[in-house]
Amino acid sequence: MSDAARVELARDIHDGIAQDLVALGYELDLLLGASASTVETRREIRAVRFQIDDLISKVRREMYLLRDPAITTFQETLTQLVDEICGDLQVNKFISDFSIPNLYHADLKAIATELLRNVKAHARASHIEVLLKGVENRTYLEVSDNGSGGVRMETSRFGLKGIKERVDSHNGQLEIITSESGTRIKVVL
Amino acid sequence: MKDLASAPRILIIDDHSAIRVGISSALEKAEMVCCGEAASKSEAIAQLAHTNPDAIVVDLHLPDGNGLDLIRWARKNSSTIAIVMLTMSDNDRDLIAAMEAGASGYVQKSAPLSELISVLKRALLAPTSFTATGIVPALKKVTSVKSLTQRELEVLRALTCVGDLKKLAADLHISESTFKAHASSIYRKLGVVNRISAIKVANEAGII
Repeated sequence: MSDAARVELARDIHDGIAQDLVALGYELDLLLGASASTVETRREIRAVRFQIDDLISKVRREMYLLRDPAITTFQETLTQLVDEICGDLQVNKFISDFSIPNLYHADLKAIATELLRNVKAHARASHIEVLLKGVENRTYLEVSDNGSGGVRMETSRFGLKGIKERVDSHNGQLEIITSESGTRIKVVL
Repeated sequence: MKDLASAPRILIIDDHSAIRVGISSALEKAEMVCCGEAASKSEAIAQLAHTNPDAIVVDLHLPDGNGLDLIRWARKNSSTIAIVMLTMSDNDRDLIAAMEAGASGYVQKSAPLSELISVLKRALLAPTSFTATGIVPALKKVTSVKSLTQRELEVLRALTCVGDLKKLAADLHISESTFKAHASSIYRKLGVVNRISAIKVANEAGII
């Protein structure tokens, strides 16, 4: 499947989900409008309504990303990803403002997502540091944690290999430094 | 319940049936009548002629075309019809476009049905006015973008390209310091602090 077709498909799916969520929200609005329910019930319905609103915004954001990656900068995407995935860890973000070629956006997003999920799921870390900067017209992304280390390309199932493939497709570099006091992964595109 | 014969008659145009059902129920509760539903632009045009509604609720994206075209068409044919655009978009550009096409109101789909009903009521009272949440900041943004000079627009477009300032300035045949001066003037006019926010504003205002 070509990239364009994949984007088209993803957009259709997102659009479908977004519209379904809107319809679901409307049903709750109608329930709220029905006077029979108790104060307690209404409060609960309203809470669910707010959750649906959040979901709609999330799906909408993804839709914009698919439609035109340039509208949302990778810097913004990265900030969101860090907050969403590692929001409960102690986070240091050093994200600089420079322009990143559009063709890197999708892969950078996938790489960052995988790196952050790995830290969250496997590293048993309490602290994470995310660094993004432009170095001589290249994009430098680094994710470090203070977790248990032991990250190895050979034993990694899919995650790191997927990252490696994406990095290689842009002739980039991937470096993994891991020890008992944590892991630092550097990606240059 | 009041006599429904005098109730406002609304045509709902959206390609998602579940959304039409939700709106239709809300209309009923608000003592309005759903006089027809359409899932596409062509269906809508047929229904408009057939049902002659007091108001239409129309989605921006329709499978066979753009809701804005439909709004222009409906407005050209009637100066008294109330037109409310209902959309997933939270983009200022779409909001302004709806206003310019002749809509009487603009509601985001993420807003509760009660907001749609209240905008619809207002639209029925004053079809040639325009009601939308967020219209003031959207207009401010558009006005600030319009205040940019020709040169500043060129610099702003350059800022969206890949490369460091030196290269971008060279492409425009100006010095880096002149480029920076233009950039800071742009940031001031747009009320932003950096390149990314400037690009975002320009994009939302539809100039890049």
